[in-house]
Amino acid sequence: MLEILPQVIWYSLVASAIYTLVAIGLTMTFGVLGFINFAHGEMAMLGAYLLLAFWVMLKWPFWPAFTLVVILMVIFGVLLEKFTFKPVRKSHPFKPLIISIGVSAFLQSVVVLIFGAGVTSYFQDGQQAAQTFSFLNGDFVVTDHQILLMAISVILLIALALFLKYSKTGKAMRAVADNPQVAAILGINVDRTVSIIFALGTALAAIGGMLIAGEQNLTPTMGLSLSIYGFSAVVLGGVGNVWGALVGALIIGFLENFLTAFTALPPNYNSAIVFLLLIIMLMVRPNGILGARAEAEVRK
Amino acid sequence: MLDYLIHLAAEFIILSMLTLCLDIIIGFVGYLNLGHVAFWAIGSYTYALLMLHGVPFFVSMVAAGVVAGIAGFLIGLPTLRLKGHYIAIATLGFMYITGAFLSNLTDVTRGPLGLPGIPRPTIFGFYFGSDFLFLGLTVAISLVVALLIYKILHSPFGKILETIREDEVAAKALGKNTFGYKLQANVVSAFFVGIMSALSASFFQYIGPTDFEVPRMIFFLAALMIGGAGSFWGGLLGAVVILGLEECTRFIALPPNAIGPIRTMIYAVILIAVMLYKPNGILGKKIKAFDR
Repeated sequence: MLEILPQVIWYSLVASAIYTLVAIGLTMTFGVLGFINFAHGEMAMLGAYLLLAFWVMLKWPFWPAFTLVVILMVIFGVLLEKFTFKPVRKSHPFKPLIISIGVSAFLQSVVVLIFGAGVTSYFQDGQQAAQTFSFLNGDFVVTDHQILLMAISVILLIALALFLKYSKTGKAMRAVADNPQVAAILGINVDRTVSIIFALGTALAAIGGMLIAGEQNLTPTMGLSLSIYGFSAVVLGGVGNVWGALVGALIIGFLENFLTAFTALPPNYNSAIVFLLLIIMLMVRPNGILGARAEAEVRK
Repeated sequence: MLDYLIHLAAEFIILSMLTLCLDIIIGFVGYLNLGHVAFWAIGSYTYALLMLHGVPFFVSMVAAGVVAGIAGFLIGLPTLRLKGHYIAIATLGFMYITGAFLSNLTDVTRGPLGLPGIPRPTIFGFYFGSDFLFLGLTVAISLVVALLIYKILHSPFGKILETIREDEVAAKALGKNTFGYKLQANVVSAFFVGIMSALSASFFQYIGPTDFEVPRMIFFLAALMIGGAGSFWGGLLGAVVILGLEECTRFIALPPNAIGPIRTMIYAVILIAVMLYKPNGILGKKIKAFDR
């Protein structure tokens, strides 16, 4: 039992890193615009499939393909916000929420039409299989891809935290999140700030999608489940707070992998347990673990 | 051609009625329940399993309604206290939990294989086997259910639900136990979904876990929004409009594996367009949540 512990912890960290990348975009849109963006996970899905097209199908080198996907996704994310969410920005949060469900279903169908509904992978022929490093007499195996994934995630998270805290744009973002009207009066360009939030969130989600697709497989439905995992992380950790997203993602990642490794529960029930945890959390402590907002935000 | 029209009519009626049930909770109470198809799944599986074990039709149908109603009660307890968009995510989680059980409890539900060969009902020795006879039964039961829902929605109870939707604090200040009313509405909605799922399961004669996932949820949501949330007739109309559009795609030659995604794309575009340009739908009333 104990000898697999380091391996399980490592897998948990890898999963948590991806959930964090997706959850950060969600928590920023939720914190600033006040609605749940169900289409956010689709940015991860779309990024993963674009990388499949450029890198695997067109056989471009990895880094140019990766960069191009991030740039395309940023443009897409900003345009999406302009055409679908901006017109209803001042509406009741149901409207953008329902629109985001529509966007999510639309993008999913587009990918099914182009790439098929089945499961695909970057490594179908096996020739690009990852290089592995083993420790502890082979009980602890790490692939180079997992190291890359962890490095990128940690660097992005630290960079983002510094950006939000110290840069002018980051401060503007926090001001808009706190009170859009006052921010506008103070001369902050709210539209531009929201665009930057979408650009950042989409970029992080797309990177998360490409990284997790290298670790697992690609399915057109991966986006929505990432959205829901991401949002569960946001709620668990505390809404509107980047560190809350990290804490929530860690809880979900560890819970999922420890349940699979140390209990007889079939892994198919993992998502059910995450959602059960989410519902219980909304009941017991709706502010999340790090959340500072009043309970009245969540419950009547 | 006539067979096709009869088949279509039954499908239109069943899906319209299911949309109407969703209207109770989204349109009248104003709670965005995204896991509503889970009630349909629970009702359908209850009904199908009972029918496959030879239980009489009416017993199976009422059992499906009761089990779905109990599910509505149990899921209402934790979620109906939440605010607007949190209920959306919690109920969506409920849909995923139900789906996980349906595809993993293989001993009971046969998992992803689904339950084929669900029999058409036999009532007092009379077998409703053909599509035409089944359409008659569907019309009869749907009329009763629709009448009951109409009565409920236009009773004082329905008015209280609308008050809760527009201003829950005011409803509370008037001394109404808003949580109790919301729970009752949730149970009523789930119960009627259960009743209708008896008809849908017998009509399609097959159910599987993939029938109760996101594409279906999008369908009902798009139908409700285009028809008009918060209106009895809007709830019924929406599904007819969307299915009508869907039937038009039948006459365009499409590769078979493209039909599913293209239909979902149609629902999605309708949903987005309605929310952007006509949030009250065709017949909907002015609802605070969708009007501002």
